[in-house]
Amino acid sequence: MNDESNSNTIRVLRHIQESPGCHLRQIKRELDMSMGTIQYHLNLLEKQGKISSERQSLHRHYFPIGLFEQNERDILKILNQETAREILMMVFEKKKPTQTDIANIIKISSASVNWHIKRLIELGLILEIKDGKFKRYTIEKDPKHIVSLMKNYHPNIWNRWSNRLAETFLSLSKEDKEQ
Amino acid sequence: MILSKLFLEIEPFGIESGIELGIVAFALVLFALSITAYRNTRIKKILFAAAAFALFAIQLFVDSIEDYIEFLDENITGIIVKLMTFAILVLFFVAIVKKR
Repeated sequence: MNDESNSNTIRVLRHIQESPGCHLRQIKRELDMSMGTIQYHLNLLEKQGKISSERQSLHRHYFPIGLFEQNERDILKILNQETAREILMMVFEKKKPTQTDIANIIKISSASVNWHIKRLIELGLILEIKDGKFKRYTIEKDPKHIVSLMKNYHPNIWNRWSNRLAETFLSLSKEDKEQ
Repeated sequence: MILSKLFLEIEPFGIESGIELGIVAFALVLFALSITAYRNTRIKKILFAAAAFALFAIQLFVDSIEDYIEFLDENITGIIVKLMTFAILVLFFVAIVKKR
């Protein structure tokens, strides 16, 4: 591989590291390289195990390996869910909200908030902090990466609808309201 | 005259079949949505709702083909269709009351 090709591979890799979840057209637009060249470098990086990709509807999204350790795919699944995204955004914007704050602002049942919060904690995306009798939530990972992932990777209409159906059943579950 | 008579005879059949087909398609869309919701969330109660949507589609299918193909006694198909309706309601009930 010559120097120019090598530097292009590094440019593509850096772009994916800075903007995880980006897709081919976005990379083309940002780096001003031809589609064929980018595809070549993407294949090379995937073969080298430096990036991974995930197809979602029309686009294939690219991620740097090791950004979210082993649970990358689970995180992507979570980001496919409208409510989980809203909760994550809410935790970003309103520093250390309680479950009641989240339920009131997003306007979903406390059972549903509780269920989503548990999953976000399990994946290591948010952290639970005890504050007297309250439980508050804060972002655990690098917020820059999560925001970038959320910007580049969003649910399609089918996933949004299926998420709303799941929300309906979640809200039918009786669960103790948590602070 | 003959054409308009023919149209009057055919139209109700066409509309009814079209609506039935639409209901079956819609039930299948809801079934597929439930399966996606289950795969994303792993909430088991959604599977009961998925089964109810699938059964609803099957019930409509059995009900509509019964008019064209006589594969069972009319009374028996009537009982089967009613049992299916009952099963659909039971599945929705279980989906609501079941813990996750």
